[in-house]
Amino acid sequence: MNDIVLSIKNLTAGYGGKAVVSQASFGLDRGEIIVVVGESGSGKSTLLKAILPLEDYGVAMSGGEIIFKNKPLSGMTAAEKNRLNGRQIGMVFQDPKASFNPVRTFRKQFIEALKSHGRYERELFEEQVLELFRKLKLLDGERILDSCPYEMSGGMNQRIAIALAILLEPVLLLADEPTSALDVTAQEQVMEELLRIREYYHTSMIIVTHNIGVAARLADKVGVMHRGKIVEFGAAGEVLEHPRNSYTKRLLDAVPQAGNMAEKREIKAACYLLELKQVGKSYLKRRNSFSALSQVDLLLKPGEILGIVGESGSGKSTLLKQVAGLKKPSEGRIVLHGKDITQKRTNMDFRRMQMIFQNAYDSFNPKLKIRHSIAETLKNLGGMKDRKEVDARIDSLMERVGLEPYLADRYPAELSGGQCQRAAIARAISVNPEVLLCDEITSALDVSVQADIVKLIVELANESGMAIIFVSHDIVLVSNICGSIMVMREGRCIEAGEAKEVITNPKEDYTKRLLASARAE
Amino acid sequence: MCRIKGNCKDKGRIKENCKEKSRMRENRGDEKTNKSLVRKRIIFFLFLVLLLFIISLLAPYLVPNDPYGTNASYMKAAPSPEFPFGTDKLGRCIFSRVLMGARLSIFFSLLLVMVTMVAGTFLGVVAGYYGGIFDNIIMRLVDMLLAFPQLVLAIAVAGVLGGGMTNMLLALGLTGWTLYARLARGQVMSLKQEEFIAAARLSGNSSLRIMAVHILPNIAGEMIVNAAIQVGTTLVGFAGLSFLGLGVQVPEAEWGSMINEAKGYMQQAPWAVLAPGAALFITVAVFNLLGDALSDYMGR
Repeated sequence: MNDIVLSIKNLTAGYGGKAVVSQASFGLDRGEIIVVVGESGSGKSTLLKAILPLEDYGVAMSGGEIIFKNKPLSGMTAAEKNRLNGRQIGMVFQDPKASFNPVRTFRKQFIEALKSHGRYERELFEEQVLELFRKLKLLDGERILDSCPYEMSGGMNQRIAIALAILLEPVLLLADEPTSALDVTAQEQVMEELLRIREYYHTSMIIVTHNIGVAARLADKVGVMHRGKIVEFGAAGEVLEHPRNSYTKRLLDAVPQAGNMAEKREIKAACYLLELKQVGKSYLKRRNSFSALSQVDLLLKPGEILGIVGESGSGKSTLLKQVAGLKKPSEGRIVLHGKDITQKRTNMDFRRMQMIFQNAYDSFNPKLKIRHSIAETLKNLGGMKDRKEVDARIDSLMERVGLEPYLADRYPAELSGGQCQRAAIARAISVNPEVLLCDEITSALDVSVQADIVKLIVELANESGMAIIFVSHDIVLVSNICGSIMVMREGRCIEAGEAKEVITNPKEDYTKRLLASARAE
Repeated sequence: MCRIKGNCKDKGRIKENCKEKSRMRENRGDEKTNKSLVRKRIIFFLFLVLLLFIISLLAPYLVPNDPYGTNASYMKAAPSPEFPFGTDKLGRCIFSRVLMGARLSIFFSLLLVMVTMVAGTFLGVVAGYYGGIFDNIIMRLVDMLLAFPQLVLAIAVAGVLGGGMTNMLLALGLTGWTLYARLARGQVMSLKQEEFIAAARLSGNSSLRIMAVHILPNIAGEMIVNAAIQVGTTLVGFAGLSFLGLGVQVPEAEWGSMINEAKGYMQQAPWAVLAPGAALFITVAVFNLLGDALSDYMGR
């Protein structure tokens, strides 16, 4: 068991002479899983690309060596390297849809992959693949082979992509964020599949992820990368439980913990600020009416923080769009301050309710400076006319959200993701809204940035007493900040109540499942 | 014009900083040299276009001889210092006539493209933004006009209304706007889904302002590129109609009609055909290359 598959010594690699990974060293035994964690820009993906000898990545090694099965990669010819791809080293990518041609059946694509490696035998093919599917617990293998990727969910696609990588029985499997694009339950299945592969094939794996939960679940050894360096490397339990490096500690602290419940806030107001009555939304899909949202009731008191949890497609974003007034519901009523705003909204209603979006970059007009975008809100909704007044207000807002005022004079693309999201918060709070809608505002951000942003939101809520609807797929994160929680599935609200009650004593199986997979992390 | 140029630059910057930072990092080195090269190309062709435009404006003052003055003793004369491009069958200076022709062709092509671009973009943006019945009406109209080959329709219009400059402009303009309308509509429909449009709406912007401030600058680059390429097509359209006798009337100097006139004695005086032909070729090429460079710059 203990033969070394891959060893990396003092690897320095980067693009165009600029080192993105420097002085990385570690060894990988047969059947071992190493998980490399790090935030975006830490160089973890570059590390993988340096190992996989594909030329079009443009990754250049400038120092150190990579030894694969006692042979240094740098000494190989292009043809030899090519032979390694797939047969010896398999690769799984982040975006499951990108691994396959969406309109050809899996059967054709499997055959193609085998043929290009000279391993296709007509009589054996079916048996070989079905055997593999059985081992990986991919049920109904025949049907899978005859379907097209577009018919499958992201999770299924990813599992099949992994199966395809394993079909050639590589010694080493590289995976770049294999679970990041997936829902929690699909994530769980993919992780199980990877563990099963190790069990059957003793495949060694290097998995790159930003998700600490994935590392805890899969890793034998964990490497933590920060600014191109491996700052800590060791056995998984050791690193994750007793981190020695200060960066690792910070990273781990930023991960939301299931135990930290939000403090219950005293809400005195007797009347409701926002009421949703039997709100529903349906679309026409292939002549059938498809209901994205049905009969959702929601009550929000002033100052309350409500969390809405659900997986993708559960209708949580659709719900938020109805509330914000970006889409009109096909049934039901939305009442704000006792006034029906279902059909028509004035600027006064917009002023009372502001929204922050998932992708901060997309929520600003790329052609306008941040200052311009915020000023627009202030002028339209805040009624501010004087230019100096507006500028002063923007400066103070920027400071309030923890940004230097000069950043307001930049274009959105010139800010980091975290900075941009802060600017979006500044825009939203610029008119002192009574309700703040947050649509997955942290899911595009790194963990440590996420922690800061969430802290800021909670602070702002405490300061101004505004109510917040916080939509997220992360039930733990929601439980950390929200007083009450609503769980959504397939367009319906299946469970709602006080956060403590829902977390400690969930009624629905689905909520239990969500919690279980969250706890496993 | 300067506002538009600024937009092109912005678009470039956004592309540079787009979300796929990691991929950009890989070939940032190439990207930069590439970009600056393309920028130089754009500046070079813009300079040429400007030069052509100035020539077309100042043509009456640049001509060495009277472009309409006939000269019985110099008929079909070969190029000489006095007549750089020779003379035609009536003894008129071809060089002067080509310059005067530039004035007509280039100036009116630019004018026509400008007008069709503005009108087409406006209709396309409105159709894409509001959708529904309005979108349907505009787009079916576009479909109808696109069903005819542009030149054939122009011939029909010129045939019905008679020849002449105004009718020719009308004939070409009738179909010219459809391209921009289609393009703008598609772009607006995808832009409409962007979160920043939603954010703009939540900021209390009126639909008009969203279209003008948030949508238009984001599609302007695309429109400009197409307009630059469209100038060439329009020039050829003009020359073609005049060649057929449906455009500019004699004795007005126009490249197409000059070629038509001179083709009868091509073997005795080939310069009479070659000079306007070459002028047309160079002008169209300059505009097309500018369009190419612009579209390269925007990374398409």
